[in-house]
Amino acid sequence: MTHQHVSVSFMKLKVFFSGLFLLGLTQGCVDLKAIQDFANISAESAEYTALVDNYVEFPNRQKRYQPADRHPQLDAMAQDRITQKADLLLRHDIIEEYMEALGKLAADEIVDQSEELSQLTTNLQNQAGTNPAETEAFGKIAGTLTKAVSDGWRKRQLQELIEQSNDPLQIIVKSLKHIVLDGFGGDDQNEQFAIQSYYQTKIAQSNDPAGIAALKEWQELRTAALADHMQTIQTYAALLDEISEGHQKLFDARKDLGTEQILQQIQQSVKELKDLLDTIKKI
Amino acid sequence: MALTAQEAFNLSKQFRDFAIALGNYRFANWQSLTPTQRRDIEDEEWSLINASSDMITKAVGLALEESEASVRSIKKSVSKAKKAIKKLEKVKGIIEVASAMVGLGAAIVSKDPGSIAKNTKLVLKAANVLPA
Repeated sequence: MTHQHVSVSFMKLKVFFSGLFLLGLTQGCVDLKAIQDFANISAESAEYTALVDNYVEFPNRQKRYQPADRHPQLDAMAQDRITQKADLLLRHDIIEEYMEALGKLAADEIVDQSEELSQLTTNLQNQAGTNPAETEAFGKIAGTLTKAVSDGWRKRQLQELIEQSNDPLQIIVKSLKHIVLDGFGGDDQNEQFAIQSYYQTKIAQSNDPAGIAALKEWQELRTAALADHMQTIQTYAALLDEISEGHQKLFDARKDLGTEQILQQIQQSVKELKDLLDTIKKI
Repeated sequence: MALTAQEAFNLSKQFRDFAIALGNYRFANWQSLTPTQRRDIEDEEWSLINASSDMITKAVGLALEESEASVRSIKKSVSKAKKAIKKLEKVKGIIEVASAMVGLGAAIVSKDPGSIAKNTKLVLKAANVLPA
């Protein structure tokens, strides 16, 4: 390869980046950190699957309170719920996977080629027959334009993803919320009934004051643990609402994702999601 | 007409309400009921509460079925998004290859066999032909 060939290669690169320049003129760089944060915290929320485990374990817990002749029916129920477990976890997984993809696409790192371009510029500057000042300027322009073009393309992909996914995502999240509130919450109410019935019956049948006091303590203990679980359910339902509303905001503003107003709204959703997730972790 | 998830959840609540009402009656009338009557009522309470729990299991199954098409649809979107992410990552790879090629060009110009070999490896690595 001669100096002339190197110069020709350099010229070809200049033509390539001039093409990018024309495309870049129509695109603007946007900071989508708020969307990335929203997607990440939503994905983290979807990771929380302790409620599913509790749902599957419910029939076994009922055996503490129900007479032995009811246990075969509870075993059959447990079997049905074990069969549903994979499908329930799939709802969590799919929300998590979707949010991870959304987060990656919104991440600035994916359209930041500055490190690679810096290396390219350095290599060009080391070439004989290239003008260092021109090469440096070329590096700067190339960096700005490559980011602008890939950023514009990324933005269109994000818009398309949000547009195509909003309806099914809303259905999945709404369905999960029903399952959590009416299904898992319904289990809690049935468990509350079982605790009440079991201990009250034992207390009514007993003539031993010390035994009655001990039974009352156990009842209080079980009731308190259940109250914590009921609170987790309410918090998780609120968290699902927040994911649903946050994504709806993205959908409504999908054509202007980079605007200050929408990014502020999403940042507020992120804050609320973080608070709710912290609450669940503390319970 | 097939049962919906919401209807099944409503039924589970009704069974629970009956069980609670029976339980309240049993404890409110504990002294006036015979042991056999208490046991029979309690037995009915467990039947009702288990019917409620069974209905919850049914409702959850129905809710899962009702959202199945949406799960398939989101899966498609995720797959498409992953392809887009790969494409964006490729841009970096292309620049890395270009950078390595420039380095190789310089090595060839210098006619240094060691440098040529080293830069050839860098080009192949950047192009994912050799492991990084």
